[in-house]
Amino acid sequence: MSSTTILCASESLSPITHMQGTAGNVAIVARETVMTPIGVRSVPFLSGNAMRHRAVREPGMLWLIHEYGLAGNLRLSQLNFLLHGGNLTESTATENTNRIAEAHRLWPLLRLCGGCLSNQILSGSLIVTRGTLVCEENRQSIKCIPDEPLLSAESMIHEYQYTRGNAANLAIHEETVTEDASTQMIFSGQAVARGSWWQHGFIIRSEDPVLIGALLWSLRLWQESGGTIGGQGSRGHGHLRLHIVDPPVDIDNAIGAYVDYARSVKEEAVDWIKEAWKK
Amino acid sequence: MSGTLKITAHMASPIAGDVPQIDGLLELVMARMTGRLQSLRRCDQCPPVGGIHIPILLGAIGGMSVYRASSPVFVVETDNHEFFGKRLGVEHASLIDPRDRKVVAMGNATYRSYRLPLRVRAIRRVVWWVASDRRRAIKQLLRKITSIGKKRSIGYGAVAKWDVDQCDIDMSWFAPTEKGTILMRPLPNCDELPADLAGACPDFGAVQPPYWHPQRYVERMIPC
Repeated sequence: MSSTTILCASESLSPITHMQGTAGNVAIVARETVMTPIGVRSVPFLSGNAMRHRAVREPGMLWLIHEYGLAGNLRLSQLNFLLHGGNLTESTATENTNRIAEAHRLWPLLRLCGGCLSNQILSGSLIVTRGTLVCEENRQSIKCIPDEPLLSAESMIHEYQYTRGNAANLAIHEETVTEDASTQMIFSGQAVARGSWWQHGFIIRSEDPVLIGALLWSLRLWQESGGTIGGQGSRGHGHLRLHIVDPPVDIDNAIGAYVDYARSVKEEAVDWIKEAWKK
Repeated sequence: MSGTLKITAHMASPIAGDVPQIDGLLELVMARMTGRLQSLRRCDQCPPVGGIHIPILLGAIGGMSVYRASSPVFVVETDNHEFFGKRLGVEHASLIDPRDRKVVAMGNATYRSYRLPLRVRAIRRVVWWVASDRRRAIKQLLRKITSIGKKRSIGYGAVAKWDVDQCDIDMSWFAPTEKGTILMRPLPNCDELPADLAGACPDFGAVQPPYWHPQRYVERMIPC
């Protein structure tokens, strides 16, 4: 059992608004506890859950759905399985090992991310590490950083504020609205500044070049579609530019191997997904 | 005379859920390496203790074989909770067959959205003591473990570094102190336990891996 680690450094091209909740009416950036030599600090981070979905599963699966001609032909439960991992809804009286083996053979991305059929769980082989903000508090966790002091995490956090039309004060109540009444509603929140850097990575419990290619292809598709993470994407937030640090394989070769393989098993893969949901 | 090793995991991210027993962790790795990792369910027959060989000594107590490995010892810096969520991506509804485009309940049943809490503890390092002469073998196995605890797939419990050091005192089962003998791991509740046992309370659960399997459950004493 060997593993492959892909270490990444990503630059924020726009404010990052990966939220964890609100304080009053201000959206708060997700923070994690970090132990530093001078005490415990709360530092913004990117959750592995978000990275796993936005950067790996969703772009990779959407490509397969279109490549296999499944767009517009999927059942809701199949879409839920491919894009969100599915749900266990029946008792697990049996384990169909042949079905699991075939799924792993025909859908390398599924072998990577795992999933859940209605009556059995398919384990994945991918560990997505959290996005660690490159800042002084995280110095001990960051690889390859200069000796000079880095900015503190809080100095990279700023607040954004936008407005939108307030329906309560618009046309419906036009007759009751006075001239000086605002029709705009303010909403605001915190963001990590553009230009900040994040360290994150992926660990695959395998050295199979097709699996590595599946991950790299998903990452490339994610980048080509804007590479967003977190909220407020419609307002231009959350763009990351990904850099793979010392890739363990030739990226183009690995992607080529995966794409060729995925195309070569198209019919079988489509048959498998139909068979798995056959009543 | 066996040696004692002190195993230290230096953590790179907070740990979600409970910190595992080291014998269970090594059994999992060994099962993966030898291709014996099968899906074991609660209703299945539990495999015999020691059936998956790991480089930790087994001891006998209360008529049972128990690994000479302590429970994890750690200091919690912060103890709070985070959330992980899921929502059906209705923005991709056009991918669904028009005949299957139905109104979906998002508040209950299959496609219910969720935002579940997860206990998350920030811990600098976790230490286990084990009785073993096979330091190098343990190091090789530990190198394959990149994270521990729950929700490892999304970055919790990442281990930055493993250290395995020789240790003079055997604290795999008990740690002698001035106030009595401290229990260091779950053991069967039997007459063979030291009379001056301290820091222990009765419980019902497993003393051998897999710790979650109901066939392993016995009356036991656990550290507290």
